[in-house]
Amino acid sequence: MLTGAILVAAALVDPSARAPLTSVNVNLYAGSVMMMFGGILLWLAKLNS
Amino acid sequence: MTLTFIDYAILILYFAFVLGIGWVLKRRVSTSEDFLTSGRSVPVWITSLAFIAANLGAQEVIGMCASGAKYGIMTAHFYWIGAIPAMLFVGVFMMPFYYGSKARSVPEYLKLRFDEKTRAFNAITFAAMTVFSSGISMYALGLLFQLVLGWSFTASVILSAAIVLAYTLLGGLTSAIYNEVLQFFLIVIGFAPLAILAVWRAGGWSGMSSRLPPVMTHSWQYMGHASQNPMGVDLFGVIAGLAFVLSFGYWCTDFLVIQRAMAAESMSSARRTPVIAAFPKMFMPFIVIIPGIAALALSQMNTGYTLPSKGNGYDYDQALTTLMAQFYPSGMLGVGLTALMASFMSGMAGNVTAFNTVWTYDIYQSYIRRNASDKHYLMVGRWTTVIGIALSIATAYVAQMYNNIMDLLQLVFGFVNAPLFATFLLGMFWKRTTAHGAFAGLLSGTAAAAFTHGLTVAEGKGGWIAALTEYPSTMAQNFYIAICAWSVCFTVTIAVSLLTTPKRDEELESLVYGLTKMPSEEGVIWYKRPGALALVVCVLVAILNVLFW
Repeated sequence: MLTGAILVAAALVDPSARAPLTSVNVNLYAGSVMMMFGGILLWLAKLNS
Repeated sequence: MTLTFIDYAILILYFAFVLGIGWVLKRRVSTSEDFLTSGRSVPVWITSLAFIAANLGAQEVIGMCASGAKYGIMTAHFYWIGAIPAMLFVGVFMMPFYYGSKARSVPEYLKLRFDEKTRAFNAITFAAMTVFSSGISMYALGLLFQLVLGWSFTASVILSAAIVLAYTLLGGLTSAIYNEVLQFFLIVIGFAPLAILAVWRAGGWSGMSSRLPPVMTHSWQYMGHASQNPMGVDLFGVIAGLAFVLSFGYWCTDFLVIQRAMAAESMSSARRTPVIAAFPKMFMPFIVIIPGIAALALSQMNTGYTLPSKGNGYDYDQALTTLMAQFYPSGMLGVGLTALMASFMSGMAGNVTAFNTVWTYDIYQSYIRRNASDKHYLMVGRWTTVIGIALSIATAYVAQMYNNIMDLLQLVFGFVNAPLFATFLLGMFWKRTTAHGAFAGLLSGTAAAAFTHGLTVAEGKGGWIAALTEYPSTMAQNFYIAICAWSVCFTVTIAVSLLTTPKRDEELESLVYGLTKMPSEEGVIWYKRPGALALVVCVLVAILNVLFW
């Protein structure tokens, strides 16, 4: 989740950052997915405790 | 490749987490059993992910991507037939003996089933193999980071060794296992986006298939003869050598992975560990192999990307890192490199913790100092961690002197694991197998592996006795070495067993099929039954094989 947050922050700070072979904002999408996944894991951990 | 502040921040965050996990788990360690075997208390989903993460070293991640670029989807055989069936077998049929015998290690099982000399043979060869393997991981990490990032070889090796030492010294096997779970998720999130982006850019599977020779996108169609496929292997070699001997030899007997299952909190959990692990394992080709195929397809397109050259061909080992440089901006690049670092470290930590347990219980406690206090063995366990890491670092530097050290490692695995599987198969399922039979079989199987290597040649390797046969590839040679080693061990074990006296039935309870009460699954819900889960895995793997026929 923290890694996802760092990536999303990086994407928002520099939205034009791109790798040579892609026009997609990889940091934003990957970071968002990581944050969602981390959130699900935290929620599952809270359910079990 | 140049890293920015964001990339280093992600790397430092990862280091903080792995050390933090070690620190938190330190309080759970008060006995040698806690330190070396996790006290058999780990939940099944943790042991399952650790089971595959311990094996998912960077050599596999980089190597499988490279193989994908070189051999195509045939590389998936290393997963779909070269891992899954053996994982199911060990969970459903062998774990009752490993876990039920209360053995703390694989060599200790051999001592209970056979005798001390068989245990000693396995303990010594396994201990040497783990240090060697850990050192090779460090060497490969140092080389990669030197090549890709311009970091000093020494700095890369020492930094990774220091982190692994810290968290394994603090929390022992439990720390290694929980970190392996973290490392697994990191590997998936670090490389899955790369697979998606690379395949999308290459035009999807249909686009890749249209640009590449058909042999690259079919896993079984070109297996009729070794000359039909770039791997240089035939159907018999793959089925008997890879799918049977090497696969079962590794997944059913290698303590590195078996240790993770044996750390589970119950028999049911231990049996389900490799079966549950098979689910993510079967989809790993999409993360590690497909990007390699995409890299080759992209090299044929006018994208500006091409695989780096080496000699007259490509440097396939650089497929993964060059793809990362093309598809990952700063930020995600840090995640990708952290995932690579994590995969190296999970391989190192796995080997060190396995070495630790085997040294402390099977060598030190058995032959050097028996009947010492548990506090003493806990101290020995901690010191062995330090010495194991130091030996691994030394091995990494020795490996620098040779240019084919990884080939040697693969060969050693074939020499050790192939005959061992025959020993376990007979030991666990035929009560007539004797200790003398097992030992004679192991020795002769290992010798057979050496002779086969000495009498056959592949890509200029082997043939140090005479060149009786030439194989089209070292892969094919390794498969046939494994087949010979297993066959000789199997035959000699049976022959010598029939001439020697077996143990009494009472001594073999919980150690052999027929004299062991197998766990009952009556009344257990289907998804908690290892057999039912294994059936689901079989169906899914069959579908994958058909889809990529």
